[in-house]
Amino acid sequence: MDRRAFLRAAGLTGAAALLTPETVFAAGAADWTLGFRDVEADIAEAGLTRLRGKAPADLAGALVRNGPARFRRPGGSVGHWFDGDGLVRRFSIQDGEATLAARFVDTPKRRADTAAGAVITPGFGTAPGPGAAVGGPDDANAANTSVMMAGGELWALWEPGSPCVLDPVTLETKGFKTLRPDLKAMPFLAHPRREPNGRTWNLGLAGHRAIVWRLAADGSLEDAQLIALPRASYIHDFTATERHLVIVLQPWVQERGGVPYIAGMAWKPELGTQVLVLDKADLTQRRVFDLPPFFFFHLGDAWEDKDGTIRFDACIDDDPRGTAAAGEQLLRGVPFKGVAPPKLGFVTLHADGKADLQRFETVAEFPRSDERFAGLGRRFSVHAAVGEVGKPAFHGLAVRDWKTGRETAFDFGRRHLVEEMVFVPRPGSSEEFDGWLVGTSLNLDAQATELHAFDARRVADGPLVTWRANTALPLGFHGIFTA
Amino acid sequence: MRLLPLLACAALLTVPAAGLCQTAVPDAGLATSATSAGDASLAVAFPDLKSHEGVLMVALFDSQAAWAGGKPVQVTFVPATAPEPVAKLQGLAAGTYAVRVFQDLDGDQRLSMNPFGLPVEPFGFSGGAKANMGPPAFAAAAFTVTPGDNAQAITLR
Repeated sequence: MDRRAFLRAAGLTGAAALLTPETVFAAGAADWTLGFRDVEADIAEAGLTRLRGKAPADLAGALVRNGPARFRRPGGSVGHWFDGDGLVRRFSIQDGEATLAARFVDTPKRRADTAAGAVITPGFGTAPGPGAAVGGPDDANAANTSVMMAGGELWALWEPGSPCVLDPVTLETKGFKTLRPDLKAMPFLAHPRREPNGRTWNLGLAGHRAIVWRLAADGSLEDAQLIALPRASYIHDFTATERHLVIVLQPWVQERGGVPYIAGMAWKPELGTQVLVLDKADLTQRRVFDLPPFFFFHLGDAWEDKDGTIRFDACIDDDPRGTAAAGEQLLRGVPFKGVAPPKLGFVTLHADGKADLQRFETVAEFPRSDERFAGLGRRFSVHAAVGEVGKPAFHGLAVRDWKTGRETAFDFGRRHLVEEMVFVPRPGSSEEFDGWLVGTSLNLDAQATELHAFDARRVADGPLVTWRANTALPLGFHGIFTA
Repeated sequence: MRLLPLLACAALLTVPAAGLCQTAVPDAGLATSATSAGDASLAVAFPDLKSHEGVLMVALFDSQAAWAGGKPVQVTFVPATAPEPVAKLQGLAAGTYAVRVFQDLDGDQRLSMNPFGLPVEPFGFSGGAKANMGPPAFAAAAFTVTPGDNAQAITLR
């Protein structure tokens, strides 16, 4: 096979210039490698090309997403997908037109790695390089996982460090957020839970201990309390009902500290999975439920029946062998061996202390719902869907109706890598899921990122509108839709 | 994989322990008197202070053993409110030393920590040495004091 044929076979024609030779020629480099490419510089705002359909007249605002976008440097690269520099991408929609702007979060980590010409800063799966100087977690903060609005500030979120404040218009980095002087550098997860009234709960983890953050709707700190956890689980996300915080403690536990983080983790399925439920009004009031062992990153919004039964959906794996433990090989285009994509699950915590986990065959990741119903009884979830064994990407999306058990899906096909979809309410609507799903995919044939809007209740019909950017952004994690 | 000896500043890695912080605290009970005979002096400046509040607490050490948990040779303090504060240490013997400093913003004479054991007040080391999952080694922060006047500058972070 000549070089061109090889590249074509690997789906890399045209992208070769964007990829290092090592990546291109890695044995069996998969066609999804474009999803893990490096972005060299900030992207100035530019219009997207409308490919088909028409934007709903009253769909206006911006999808703001975050995700790692710089992994490789001449002197050494990250050891895990999660350790790339955060690139905040803003897809603005107005008057039927869309634009894209993207800017790297200007973190001490990015500065140190840039100056060294190598990734020297340690992280989730990256060992420290020569000259690393981590005086606190924010020296290693990649600010690459999600975003939230806090008052007039846009925060780029990571997991083990502080939020990083950005200007919501220019995406310029302002610096790390200290919510109270004595809580400087305390961790703030990338998955805050916002109540419909705007009050926001979040956790920060340190082994067997956690801080529970409570923020007012304007982003100011209302309260912060320390709690003890029954075990030092990896916690990427938690969930909440109107009255309770629900913390799922999977059996991937920290046995020792140090870097990289995953080197100190152990999978102990014999421990099962525990669920810690705390009363929001009195965090000392706690209950613990037991479930079979499973691994997860993301949970859906929880709700509570009148009798106290707590219910929520989850995207679960059998174990952490995939993205969590082997995030480095994604950057080399090497498929996971025998690892199935995450699938939908549903957890019920009964009032009598029993708990059960239903597992479904549907491939599911990045669950979202109508945030106007966060913590309240609800019917619908949306998640990325359609996947294959060994592949860290999704080809479609699906909406699940938890009342009927029906699922409606749209499959973009194997040449699209579909990212998280965010629900956007139709102005003036109050009914659940009356609105749109806005999200992105990476089109491997066009070598470009696309922006789509669906009618949330008619997903199977396909996108109402699709725009295409003139660039291919690497796959991101999470976002918000903001006015 | 290189495992680092002191994991103090590793909330990143969720293992806060002591380390950086305790050892960076000068014993507040020590008087600012010379304990070593000599006629050398040292002036420590603090360029690029982020805030001119509180007091700069300075500790001078003369060995790795002292640096790693023993007693400083001298401690002193200087208000951070001056435009260009300078801490002066006198009566030093010529030799090799290293300095730690923190900015006491809340007036408790200690380097304050967050609940997970990480410093919340600015701190710094001589020689441009940086914390890396714990305090730098004495050697990294060491400098030579010669008879007469000596000067060092420490950037707090």
